[in-house]
Amino acid sequence: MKMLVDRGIRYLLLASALVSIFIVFLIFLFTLREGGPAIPGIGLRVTLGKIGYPVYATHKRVLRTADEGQLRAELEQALMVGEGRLQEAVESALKDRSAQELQVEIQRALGLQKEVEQALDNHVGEAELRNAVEVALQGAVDVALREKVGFDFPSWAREVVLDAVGLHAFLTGGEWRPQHDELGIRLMIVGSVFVTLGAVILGLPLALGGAIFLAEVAPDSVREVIRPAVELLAGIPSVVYGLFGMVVLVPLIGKLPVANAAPPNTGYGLLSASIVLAVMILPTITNIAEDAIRAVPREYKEGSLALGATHWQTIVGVILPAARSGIIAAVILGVGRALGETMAMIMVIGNSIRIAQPLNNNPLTTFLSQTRTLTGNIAVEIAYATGLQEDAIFATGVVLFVLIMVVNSLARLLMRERAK
Amino acid sequence: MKEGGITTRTGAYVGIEERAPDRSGSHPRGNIVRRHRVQKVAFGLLWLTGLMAVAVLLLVVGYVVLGGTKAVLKDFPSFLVTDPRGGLSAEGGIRTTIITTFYVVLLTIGIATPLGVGAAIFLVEYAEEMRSAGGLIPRLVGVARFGVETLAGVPSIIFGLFGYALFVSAEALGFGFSLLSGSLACACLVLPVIIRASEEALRAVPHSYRHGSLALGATKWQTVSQVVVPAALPGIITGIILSVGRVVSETAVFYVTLGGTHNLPTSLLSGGRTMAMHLYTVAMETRAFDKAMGTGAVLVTTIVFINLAINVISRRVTARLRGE
Repeated sequence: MKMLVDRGIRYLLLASALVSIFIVFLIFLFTLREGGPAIPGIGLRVTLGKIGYPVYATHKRVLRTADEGQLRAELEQALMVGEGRLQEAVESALKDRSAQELQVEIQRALGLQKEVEQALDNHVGEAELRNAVEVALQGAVDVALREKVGFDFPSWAREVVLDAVGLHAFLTGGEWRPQHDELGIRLMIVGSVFVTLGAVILGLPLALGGAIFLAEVAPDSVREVIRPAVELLAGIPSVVYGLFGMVVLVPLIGKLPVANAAPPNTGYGLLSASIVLAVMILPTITNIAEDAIRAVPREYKEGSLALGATHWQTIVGVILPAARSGIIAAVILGVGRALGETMAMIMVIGNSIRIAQPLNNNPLTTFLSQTRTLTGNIAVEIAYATGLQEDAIFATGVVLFVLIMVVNSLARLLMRERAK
Repeated sequence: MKEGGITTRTGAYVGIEERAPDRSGSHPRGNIVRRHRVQKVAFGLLWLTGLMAVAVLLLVVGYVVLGGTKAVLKDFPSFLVTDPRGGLSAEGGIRTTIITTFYVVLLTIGIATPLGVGAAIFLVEYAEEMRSAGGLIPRLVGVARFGVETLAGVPSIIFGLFGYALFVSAEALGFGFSLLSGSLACACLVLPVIIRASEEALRAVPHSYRHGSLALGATKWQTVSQVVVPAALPGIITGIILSVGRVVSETAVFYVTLGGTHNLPTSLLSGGRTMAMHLYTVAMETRAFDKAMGTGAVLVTTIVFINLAINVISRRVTARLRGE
């Protein structure tokens, strides 16, 4: 009986251990399932041929490179496509839609058409033409989608749109405009990378200096005060750091004079975010790096000192090289923390859907640019995102997850190497 | 040829470089003086960076705490005991958010502790012998270890996203924005914290305890439950308190799973707003920075107390280990 209980408990405990891996699985599964449609090959594949999307896609390509004559030709063709689709849509809708719905729909379509025609008549400049083509194509696609699926866009139709966009376009697309089904996350990737880079550049000297100081130089009495303080500060809620950024840093940085800035310098942006993040990753890097330095066997140090090297020479020539992999791991873990930080970033980076770019002709003003991080994109939009946008948000989560996994495995690899 | 240095354990060659470039050709004594001067400068810089690192951190936290304390004391104690007005007004205190934070902590820890401690006991006490059992189980053990390691590095917003998809979304479990969704999602977040701390505590229990108990005829489970776990209890409790701190300071997970209403939750399925969320909401949406700072001060004070508790416990543990 006792043995039976023993065995039962054994498996019960195994079960609870397995729950944790199960959760990892679930997390990946769910983000992937929800974000999957945004990533072709994982998401549902639907034939695109019939619903006008390829037209849109090719035309978009032309739109980027075409001269005015080509644009005009494109516009006329698009208009024809739009008209044909419109007619079909009206016919199919006539069969099973209420009069009211129909009216709304037709009016919308007619409005689009009128816009296109007007643009074609007036054809003032290339920019307007470009815009007109865009509108026309959008109309064609809209109508085509409606024709295929009725008036209320079921999810598979949305998936088609992203499937057509493709993984490459999702990762490198510069525009995030969910209303127009333009869902590229390049600007968030750039934002996350810039802000992390900035934080590491600003925070690393202090963090490493602090780690060496605590491990080698500080007398025990100082260390006993500082070490717990740093540990405590690692546990302070990120919103507190974010609040400091909002109250102190943003107004300060907003005062920096920037000539001819468009958009103006508000203080919110990469610089504020990098500074806040630098402070936040400081305790992480310091703690882990200090542990790595302390883990260097004492004989190394004693040997070096016995050979006549000064303490400083020993630190630079013996201890730091020996602790190298651990220190690098600390930095990488700091990077992981920086990439994953959410709330503080939302509070100070401005969350605009612009890619980070200079405010005037001085490239350094890039750091005053408001932008958005991957994490911020998820947190800001998930609560009200529906349909395609929601899929894209989850796809953002997948990208972030993969990024963090790569970073953390790197750190773990280095830690393991150290342990050997 | 590499001479005059040592090769470290990691294979890095370490030379004593200062010997060669004695360019001055001066007396060796000058070399020593120079080296010590370099060291003095370098150590001075290290002192500076070390103190600066702490100063920067203290500046940031201190600014919020001092400003916040002022805001709290301005209408004390009404800031702590009145409800937030909600909506676009930042008026009122933070009573409901304190209570909601308490609820969420209780629920999250309630969910995560049995799982986490169970997993740790398994990994420390049973995993090794089951590894040798053959078959599927060793592989599962490896997988579980990998799971714990991986979970620890996942950023909290991913947990939020996952919680949103699995617990909140009507297409899955459909708990809506609620205490239950938030706590379940956050439990996944603190699980690795509890597992790691408990594992460490269990591993620190001397093998002689186990051997003694087993030699007296106790079964494995009797040994574990009556000898090993009680001995490791302070460490396990430290882990739990540590995760209480994580829950209190967590914002991203709750931001996407808890809804954010300023009202007091009435059931497991009603939403709420923790203190950290309140700070964020007040700062971002109403720009009432003094209220946000006040909330921040209360938050930081809570965290400080939690850390103190951990310190007291770990000191007691160390004392006991020394005594025995």
